[in-house]
Amino acid sequence: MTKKAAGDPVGTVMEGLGAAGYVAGPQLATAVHLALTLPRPLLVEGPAGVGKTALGSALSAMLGRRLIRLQCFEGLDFSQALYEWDYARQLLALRAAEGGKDDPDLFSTRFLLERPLLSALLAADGPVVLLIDEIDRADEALEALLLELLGEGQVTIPEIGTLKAKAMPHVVITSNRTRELSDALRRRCLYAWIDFPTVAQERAILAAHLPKAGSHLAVQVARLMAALRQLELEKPPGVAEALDLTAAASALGADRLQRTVLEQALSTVIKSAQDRQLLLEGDGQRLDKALASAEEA
Amino acid sequence: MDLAQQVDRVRDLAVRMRQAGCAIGPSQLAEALLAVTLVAPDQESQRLALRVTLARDQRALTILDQLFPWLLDASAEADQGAVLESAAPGLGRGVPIGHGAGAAPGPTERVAIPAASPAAGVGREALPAAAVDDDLSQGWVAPFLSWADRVGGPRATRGRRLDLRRTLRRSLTTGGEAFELIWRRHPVRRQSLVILDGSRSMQQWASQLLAVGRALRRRRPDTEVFAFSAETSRLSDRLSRPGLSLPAASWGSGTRIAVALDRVRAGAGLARRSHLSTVVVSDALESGPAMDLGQALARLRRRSAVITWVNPLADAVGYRPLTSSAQEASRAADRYLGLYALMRPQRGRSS
Repeated sequence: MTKKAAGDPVGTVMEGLGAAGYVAGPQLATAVHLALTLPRPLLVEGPAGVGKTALGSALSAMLGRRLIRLQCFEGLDFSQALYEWDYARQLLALRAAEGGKDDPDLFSTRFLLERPLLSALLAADGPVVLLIDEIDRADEALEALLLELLGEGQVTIPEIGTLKAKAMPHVVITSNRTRELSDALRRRCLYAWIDFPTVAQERAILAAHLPKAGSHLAVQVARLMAALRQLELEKPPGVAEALDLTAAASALGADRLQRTVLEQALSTVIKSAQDRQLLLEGDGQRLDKALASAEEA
Repeated sequence: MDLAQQVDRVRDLAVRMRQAGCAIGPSQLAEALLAVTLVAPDQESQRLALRVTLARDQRALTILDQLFPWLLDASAEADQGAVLESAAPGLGRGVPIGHGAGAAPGPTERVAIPAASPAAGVGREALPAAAVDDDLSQGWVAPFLSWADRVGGPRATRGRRLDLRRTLRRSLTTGGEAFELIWRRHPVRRQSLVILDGSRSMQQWASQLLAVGRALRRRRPDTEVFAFSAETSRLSDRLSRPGLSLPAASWGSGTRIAVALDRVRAGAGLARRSHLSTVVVSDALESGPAMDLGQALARLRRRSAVITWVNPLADAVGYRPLTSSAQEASRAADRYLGLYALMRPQRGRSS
């Protein structure tokens, strides 16, 4: 990739991601290019279902590197994210050493269990792609834990010392903005915002992922999604929902969206009772209007 | 434009962004300078590179997009009319940047950017006037939330797990025998709930009420905001929309605050929540029995670790809660204060 980068590096990234089935615009491709070149972690924010997590997988495929994923959740701590001592082995080693001359070094790497962050840092097979997904779900303490890793490419284990990355992983961090991230974390990352795709982009995504779906159906679905996102839905449909709807319509044997097909496959798009009620109230006027805008040339 | 000029322009842009409230450190600036050399020299590529490196959130993206035409103007001025390669038609001064395919759109509203001070040395010309954005005046939010977290008692916890590390370390004091198992519990993040009174008597403060909701939601995006008058509605996802107003009743028959509080409490997604940090903004002019309000607040208390009642009437000098409903509210709330008093920390700093 480096050789091609001399020409149009951003275009090369777009092509590379495209080959991995990910349709990226110039903004995101620029962000990825700079994240790889500088190199810096990339913080990606945007609404749910726009392909933030998929970017990590696509980057891994593009670079031909292993993907290590850390799925964040409330209560995630360093022992699940970074490392943990193998206490059972330590106790066994203590027992085995009882009466013997050897004094086992209980706090050596022999007894260290690598968790995703440490695995990514010490990967023997070159730089991996580290996807830290939905970091906003984790507690603030985890952010503090990441600062050393993201900034210096190292972690400090009190009992051992500092472990430096053999090869700095390509880090992609995603956030759905359910809470504000700290400035310290943001400062260590490049930033990209992914919004819902345009109709043309969504059509390209549908064509890339579901090549068997008719082009007319893909255009209709893309337009319908754009119309639904204009409504005040509690959970606006993302790209994943567009893919599901297209696949569902194809599975139902439809080559174009009609009211009956849409009603049958509505559960692929609408994920809350309130939204369903909003769309179907008044004999489904809103649904008809959205469908009509999908039909417009 | 040579490299030195380019460095000057990007540095000036960073200074302007700092003046607009964006935290841009020296390392970020260095990254931006490096980044613009790593992409094509056309305007759009340069803009995208600066967006990735100088901005760290949506607001900064908006500010950068507003400032970028100014940067181009400055460049053109310095180059004495030299025509820059442009891949972004319509990217002129004062024209909002198009958020076309692939461009990160950011919020649609414009953000207030202070004019550069002469001392800054970068004010070649005045920036386009921008509307005042109430989200900029949210200095009170952090201290308020800090207080709410502090007085709400210890955060709730969920589940428990054996803490092997501490158990092992404790066992070293008993010769390696794990006599005492040490458990750890995970704290549950506290969510804020804002309930705004949209009754006719509160309409005069409508914009401030919405600003309270917006400011809290900006700081903690999982904040839920509801408004009530004759009906109760959820505003959480609509707060940033331009022209949003509080839902007002078309008649002045009074407001059943107690009923509204019960509706919100039982509302979508809140039934299973507990340990909320609840803020009620209302003049407490309950049209029903005051006792009902007290009972509704007691029920709300079961879901809330801390309740703050903000009454704009309480800003008046010598105000005391004399009506029975206001007394119920002040008795049930951990903090009962005026709207001005709520925002006082920020006002104090700005004055």
